[in-house]
Amino acid sequence: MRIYMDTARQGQACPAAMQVECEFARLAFEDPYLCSLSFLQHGASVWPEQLQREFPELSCWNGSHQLHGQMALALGTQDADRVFVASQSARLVRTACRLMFRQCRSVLTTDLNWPAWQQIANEEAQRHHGRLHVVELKDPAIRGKASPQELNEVLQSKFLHHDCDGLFIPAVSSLGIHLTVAQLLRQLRSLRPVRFVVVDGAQALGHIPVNDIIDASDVFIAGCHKWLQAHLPLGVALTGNRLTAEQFANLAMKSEASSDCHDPLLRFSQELRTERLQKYSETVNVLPLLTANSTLRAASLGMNTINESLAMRQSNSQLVAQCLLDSPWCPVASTSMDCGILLVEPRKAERWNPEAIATAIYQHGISLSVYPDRTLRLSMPSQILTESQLQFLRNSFISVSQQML
Amino acid sequence: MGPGISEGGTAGICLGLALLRKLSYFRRMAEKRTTNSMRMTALLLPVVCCLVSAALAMWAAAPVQFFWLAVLLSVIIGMLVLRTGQRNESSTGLLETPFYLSHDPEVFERYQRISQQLLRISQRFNKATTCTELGDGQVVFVDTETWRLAYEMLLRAPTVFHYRSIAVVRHPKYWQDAAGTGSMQFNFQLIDDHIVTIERIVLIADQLWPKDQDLPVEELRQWIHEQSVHGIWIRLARISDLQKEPELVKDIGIYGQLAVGTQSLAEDNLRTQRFVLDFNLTAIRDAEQQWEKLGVYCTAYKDLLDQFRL
Repeated sequence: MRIYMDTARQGQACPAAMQVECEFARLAFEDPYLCSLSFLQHGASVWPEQLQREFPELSCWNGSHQLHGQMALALGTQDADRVFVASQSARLVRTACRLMFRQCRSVLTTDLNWPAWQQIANEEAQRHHGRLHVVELKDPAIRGKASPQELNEVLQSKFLHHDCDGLFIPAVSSLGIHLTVAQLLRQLRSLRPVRFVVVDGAQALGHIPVNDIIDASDVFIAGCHKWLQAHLPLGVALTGNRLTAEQFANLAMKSEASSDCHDPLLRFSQELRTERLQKYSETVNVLPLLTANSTLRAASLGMNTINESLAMRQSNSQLVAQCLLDSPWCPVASTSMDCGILLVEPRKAERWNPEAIATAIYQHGISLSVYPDRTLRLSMPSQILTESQLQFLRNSFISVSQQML
Repeated sequence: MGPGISEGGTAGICLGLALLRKLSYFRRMAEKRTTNSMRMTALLLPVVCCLVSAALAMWAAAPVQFFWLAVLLSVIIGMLVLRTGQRNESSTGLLETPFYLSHDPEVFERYQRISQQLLRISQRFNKATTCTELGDGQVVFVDTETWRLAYEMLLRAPTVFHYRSIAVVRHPKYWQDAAGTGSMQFNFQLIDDHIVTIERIVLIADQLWPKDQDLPVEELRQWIHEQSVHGIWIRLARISDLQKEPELVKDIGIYGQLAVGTQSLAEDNLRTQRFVLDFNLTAIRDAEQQWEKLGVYCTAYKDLLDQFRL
């Protein structure tokens, strides 16, 4: 038996994504010409019917514009013009942070931000002579058991104290700490003007409902390869309004190839969508567009909604925590960690090597992330864990601790 | 005797101070008129004093002699004090300045450069007022758009990171002529190059943003929108909302902490009639206060768009 619990790092490919990848590889072998500009722009309808039958999953591709529309719907809006896709989420974060620091003088962030994104925010703050304030929430959330409301109160008071006008926070941190962003923004906006809000939704898209977060923020950034399970990384940015969409497009499309905001796939997908193709543009890998398209289509046809999946993940989290209670492993429980990510720490592990823990756990049939401080991150599946799976988990964890001792 | 002497001494000192004031008055008057007569007086005064002292020593009683000496002493001390004050006020004389500065080669070199520039200014403008304004930290441009050159230099100054501007718009084509469009493109370039961040408050006449309209007239709105798309943070207010604070309705630009520019438009509300560039810290602080106060009346363009979708 194997249990995959590393979705927060890399989601397990959904069947539709796997099918597209296989068909695309076959197409590349048989006739690469089929992946023409016309196909990418207008979809598989440009193929003869026989070809469509030969590549059934690829035939679901209805063009770049349709992908943007589908993505918009998945994010709770009908405005495809507000959606941007890129080969690297970092480019989207860079563009969003640059827009933010063009308009804000003082931006609040947290220590829950993904370090690479935080570094980008730092660089943009320096470039624009803006101020960046970091609020420490990790410790209060994990050790202090602070509730989401208490975390919001800390953020609110720091926002006012530092006279901030911008905000860059994650909806769910990589450790599973959940910030109630929409509620926080409502509170902040009732107190003072908030000019620009960037939300990192990498751990939120496909994991928790994001509609209200998107409505409240200026730019929401996520990827398709985690909880959405599209396998291939594809960065997605959704802007909160048309003006920000214009700003975003202006910056992304105007940036030169040498610019750190330049993303060839973003430019190409925008050109496809708006039908303004540059004749001598760069060749890009379009497969992530196709896998994302099929994944979204499969999700829209799926039985479970995000809310239902989340409820199952939460139940699984509680079940795993309970089954480890009297084991050498200690689940970290906090009200601000109420999503599908569970942290587990060894009770006595001063000398345990994190890499050795990761190897031992994998050998015992469980895939998860192990941090340098020996914290284990378990991403819960969206199907309820069976009794035998729970027993398998418990046995595996106990065996690993015995092996480490 | 004692008290008599004391009273005489005090009176003498008072009289001496009064004389000193008078002398001071004479001195100020003398600066305005010719100084020749004062110089004659200054030569005659010690001679008269010596003669009076000799006469008193021969014929007057001791208290009178004492009184006279007290008066003389007070005058001398007063003159010394006055002289010290004069030195503090004006330091050195105009001709002494270069000699005094030559002790410090670095400062002297700067003095030479400043003098050369002042000579160039006087040759070009030949107006005492221009030099005075320069001395006051102001540069004035009248009936010309050439102030935009100074504007561009300021915005590229290495200490200017933040540019705040208040635009008073009474014409839909405000800053949309060739010069204005050029300046707007320059603004966009500065943003793209990460040189400055720009915020603008647009104060709009009622005919361009009627009370019953959600947004300003389309021509003006397009101008505002283009700036927003380029990353300028824009806020709007109607001029009529500032009726009780008309002093806030001024077309200004605050260039970091370096200078403030105030633009006055001609009757057509398009061409520049006068542009004053002020480098005084007080002027910058005043402009910042104006900016803060205006903030109360403004609505962000972005919020207006959210509220009233196009």
